[in-house]
Amino acid sequence: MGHHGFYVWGSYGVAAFVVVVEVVQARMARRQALREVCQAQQVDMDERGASS
Amino acid sequence: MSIRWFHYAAPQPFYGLAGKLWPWFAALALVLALIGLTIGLVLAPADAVQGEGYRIIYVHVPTSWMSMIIYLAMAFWSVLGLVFNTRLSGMMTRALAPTGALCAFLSLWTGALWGKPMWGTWWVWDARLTSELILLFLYLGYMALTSAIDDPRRSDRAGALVAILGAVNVPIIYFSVKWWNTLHQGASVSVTQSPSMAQTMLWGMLIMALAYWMMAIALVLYRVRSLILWRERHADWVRQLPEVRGMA
Repeated sequence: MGHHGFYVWGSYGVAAFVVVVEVVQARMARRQALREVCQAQQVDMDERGASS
Repeated sequence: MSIRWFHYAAPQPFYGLAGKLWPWFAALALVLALIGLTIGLVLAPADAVQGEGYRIIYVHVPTSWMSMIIYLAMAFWSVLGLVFNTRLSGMMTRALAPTGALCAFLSLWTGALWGKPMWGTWWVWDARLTSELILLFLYLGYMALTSAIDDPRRSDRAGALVAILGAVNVPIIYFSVKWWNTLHQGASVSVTQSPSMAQTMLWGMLIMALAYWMMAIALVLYRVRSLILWRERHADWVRQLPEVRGMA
């Protein structure tokens, strides 16, 4: 990369890092959503059980 | 063709559709990125004027394009949401924002790293750079606003207003190099003129742009599924999902 190595790899490196961050964040958000769905469904079931 | 568009505008069918589609877009993104990077970093020659430093273009131009396109997509979904009151629109807008914000950030970051060796400065307050910075702030403002309002309907509406009003900034970014005298160079690719760059470089750039498109679509489809799950968390169809039953 000649004497521009720092600038070029600085660009590609951060761009690659951002891709990793997005993928990890998206997976964590899905896991979190699934957890909260289970909690909500549990609450619904308890309420239904209590009212009957 | 009788694709049932409005059928898929409902959260439940779209959840299934998005789940089927995102792996294909992710795979396409990966293949295109590998081809684009091979062209950009291996096959394409060094630039006659800028040497190796110009290779930043393969990240800079695609992320800059995506930062504008994603904002327009957010405005599009917002208009749909306000006009038709579809539940999916707000979720799509929300799913687009993080990727758009990161593209705007990458556009500015790679631009600074390109500006330093070529212009001698990381940053100037010129029209192109400043309007792109405003775009990043619009994304951050949208995300802060929507996450601050608990009620999903109100949150979606407030976000839609930001997305639609902020869209005015996108043509300003795009035409800034024409309207004002800026340090930033003019468009490298335009419809009316033959491109001002070598064929190999152009192909590398276009393929990288396509890779970013596919990645953005895959991420948005994946993210919107989490949003649908959460908003429909009390619904019966969600309880029946194998991924939910597996957790219980």
